[in-house]
Amino acid sequence: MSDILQVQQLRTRFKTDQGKVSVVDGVDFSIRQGETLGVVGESGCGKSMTSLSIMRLLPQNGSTEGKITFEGKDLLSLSEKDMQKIRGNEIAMIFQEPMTSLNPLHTVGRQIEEAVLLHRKVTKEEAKKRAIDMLKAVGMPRPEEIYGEYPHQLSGGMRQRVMIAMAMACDPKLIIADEPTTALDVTIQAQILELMQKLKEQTGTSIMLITHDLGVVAEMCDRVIVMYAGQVVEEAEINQLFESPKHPYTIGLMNSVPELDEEREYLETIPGSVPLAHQMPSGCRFAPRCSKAMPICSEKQPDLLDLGGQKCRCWLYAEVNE
Amino acid sequence: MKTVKRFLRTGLGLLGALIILLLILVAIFAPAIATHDPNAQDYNAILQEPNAQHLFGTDDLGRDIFSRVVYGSRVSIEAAIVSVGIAMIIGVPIGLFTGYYRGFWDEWVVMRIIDAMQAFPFLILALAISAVLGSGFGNAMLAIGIGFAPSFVRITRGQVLSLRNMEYVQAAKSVGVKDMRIIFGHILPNALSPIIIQSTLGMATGILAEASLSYLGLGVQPPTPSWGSMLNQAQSLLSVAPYATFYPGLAIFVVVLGFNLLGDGLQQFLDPKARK
Amino acid sequence: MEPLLEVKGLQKHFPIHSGAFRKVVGHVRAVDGIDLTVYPGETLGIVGESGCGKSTTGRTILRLLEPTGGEVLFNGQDLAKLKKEEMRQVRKDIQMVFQDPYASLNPRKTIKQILLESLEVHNIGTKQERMQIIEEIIQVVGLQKEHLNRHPHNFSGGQRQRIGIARALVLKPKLIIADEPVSALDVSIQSQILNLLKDLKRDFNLTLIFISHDLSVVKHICDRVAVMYLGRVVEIADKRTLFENPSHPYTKALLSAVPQANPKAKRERIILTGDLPSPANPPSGCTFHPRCQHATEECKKVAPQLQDIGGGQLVSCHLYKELFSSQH
Repeated sequence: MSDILQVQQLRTRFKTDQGKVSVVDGVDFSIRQGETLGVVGESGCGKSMTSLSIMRLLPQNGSTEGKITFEGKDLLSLSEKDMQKIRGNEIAMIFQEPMTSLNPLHTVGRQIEEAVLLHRKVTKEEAKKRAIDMLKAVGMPRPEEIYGEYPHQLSGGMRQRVMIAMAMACDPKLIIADEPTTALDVTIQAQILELMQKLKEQTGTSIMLITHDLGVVAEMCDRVIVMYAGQVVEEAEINQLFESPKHPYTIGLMNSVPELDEEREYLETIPGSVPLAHQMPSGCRFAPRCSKAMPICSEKQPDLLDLGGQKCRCWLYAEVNE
Repeated sequence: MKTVKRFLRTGLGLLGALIILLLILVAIFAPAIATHDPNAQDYNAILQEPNAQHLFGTDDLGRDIFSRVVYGSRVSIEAAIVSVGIAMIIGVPIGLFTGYYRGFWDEWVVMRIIDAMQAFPFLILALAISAVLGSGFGNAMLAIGIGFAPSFVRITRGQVLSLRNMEYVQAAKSVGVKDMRIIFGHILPNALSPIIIQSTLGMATGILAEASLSYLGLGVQPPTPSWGSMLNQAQSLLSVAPYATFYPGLAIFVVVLGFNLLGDGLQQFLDPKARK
Repeated sequence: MEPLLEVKGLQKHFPIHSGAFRKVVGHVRAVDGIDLTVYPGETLGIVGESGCGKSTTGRTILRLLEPTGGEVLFNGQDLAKLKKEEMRQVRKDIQMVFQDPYASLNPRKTIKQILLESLEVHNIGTKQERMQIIEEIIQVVGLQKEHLNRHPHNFSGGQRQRIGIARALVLKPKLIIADEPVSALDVSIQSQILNLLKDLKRDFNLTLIFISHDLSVVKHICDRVAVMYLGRVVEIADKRTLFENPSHPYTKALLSAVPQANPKAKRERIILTGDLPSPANPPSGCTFHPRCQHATEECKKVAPQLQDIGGGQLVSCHLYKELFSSQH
């Protein structure tokens, strides 16, 4: 299968009071046609900034270096006008907060139509039909009525369905979903995840799923990258990752989450907290919190090593490669 | 350092602060700055245009306008502080208690009285209260203070309404802290910044209101120099001696502008959202 | 064993106002008649989705919200009937840990002031003794004495939650109500706080009510669990029974909806249709019936009561017998 998106040496910086700060620092990954790639990490690991860099939706004080290739086009060198043709059309986004990402003054139908009218040569009637079809596709009851309703009339789960309908309206080749179910209750989350899975099977679109929840990853993804402090620390196929996680951070993360199907007296913990963007350790960024840290870890940054399909940024595996 | 830097960035606020500082210095050092006794009448120098002897000219009694403007700053500062002080002493506690306890008194008594008071333009209200209380500086201050109290009730109450549900206030309650300590120890300190901003803006209004009441003869009594009373006395001379109204008017304008700039600057400075 | 806390028929209704004269046009039945018993030394979990009334229950027990009806018996005393000052005295024995470590600490006070306040308002100890107590407590929760003079904004979320826990411990309470204490924290920090709570519970012989939406966390930390739906308790049981043998259809659906960090686990998932109904206008009969795949005519009309089905398991469902037997 060919790659639909390739990200190479992505570096995103912000101008702040403390000077220029890197929030994404040399990130490499690719997404294949029709696959769901999970991007896992805790707050501040750069996972959301990576997605905003791809969409070129960074705030004013942010800047991006590196190469982002989407279907042969280098997104970072496109003109703003060409980029607009891609946004919402070929790459669509679903955000965490369905309340703030829908315009409260416009009807649900109008917001779905908007993208269609913008990117497709269709009449108003065709756009309306498309919007209603999409509402049907995302499992909304009474789609014709919902079409004319406003976001505040809908529940959180319904709004997230509308967001998905908007994202899917132009048949995008890639959907970037940033914590799409984090704001939802578990029973509603289950509905939304099932819906996303179903739509993906029907349309064959690729999904980049950003989440902090390993359970959601296990259920949805084909491949996963784990991010820590602005870098990719591990990349693996889903089964590989859960069967033999390599990076001490990944292992720590997995062991610190309580699971329904197991009984443990104590959870493992990762001591300390994530380093701040302007105070990054000089060696491995995880070294100060790592129980397996060696002298070299605080001196030199490890590379993302290829361990035969699975990749890991850790000195523990350096000899294996040499 | 960072806080100073942030304040510097609000340049206009700084300008406002400088104006107010200058006003305070002028008020303190009035005897040294004034070139003449502000009340000394010199019938040999009636209605002189600004000249080297009398920088701002003289009025119809031959008093030095520059010296009177300088001494008038004392009245203005007093007016600003006393009127806002009275307004805060009345308004802030009412706002704190009604906002914290809510209920019938808050909703049906205090807030409705405040609605009624705020339905009048501020100056008319101050004028009406002043007319009831009688003329004189003290009564004028009280009138302005009472007229200005509702805005402090509102702003304080609004703060309390949002703060009383903050988790740290709930936490204090759950620990067993008494209401008084919660109100004055937890809520008031966190409600302070908008109150301070409001008081700075209020001082501008206070100066203006004092000047207006004095202009109407309800404020400072002659011969004490106040910018408002100077305007009052000079108005009949507007065509003969425009400078006699110009300088006190300018002083009011600059100082009111100063307080407003300072208030806006503080607003940006104290706003936690602007701190990023 | 004598229960430490007994909640009987607790209700909390919020009036809905409308119009110029703020007429009361209805009530949000946030908590609508719940019974709970908490025994000394145990951790009782209260789980449910947003809007089910679990947080309101916690706050109403503590009388941070005034109950609309019902009894809260603590050491035999009905807290709901206490006068203000009497209640203030009782607060020594029941403390709370709040969800948001950023909002639950007064930003203008130092950690020392925050911790001392509890002791001051209850006139405990001399000045030196108070300092000694808080210096001890701050170390118990894994921070240092030096931290006492700093303000909350100098700390990370996890550290702040430790401070929040220290505040709850300072008065040596008999009962702590923890309202979503880890849901605002990152996963790696979450486990630190959960371990700390387990340690403290053992060392201080605490009784804990742990309110959470996260079933995995509740299973990890609790001894018994109550499941709430729309202001009512639908099932209570000890942890093992509840998670291995859930009897209420809602509990079953809730458990099956939790995504598990095991890509090979194939489970049968019950996807509930529809959304949570509004507590201002709850469905008739069993409030769960519109989303329940087993609902009968009886469920639409008659509200079921919590009944003991053996082994300390209480279920509020007309159909538990049929559903229960079909499981075995």
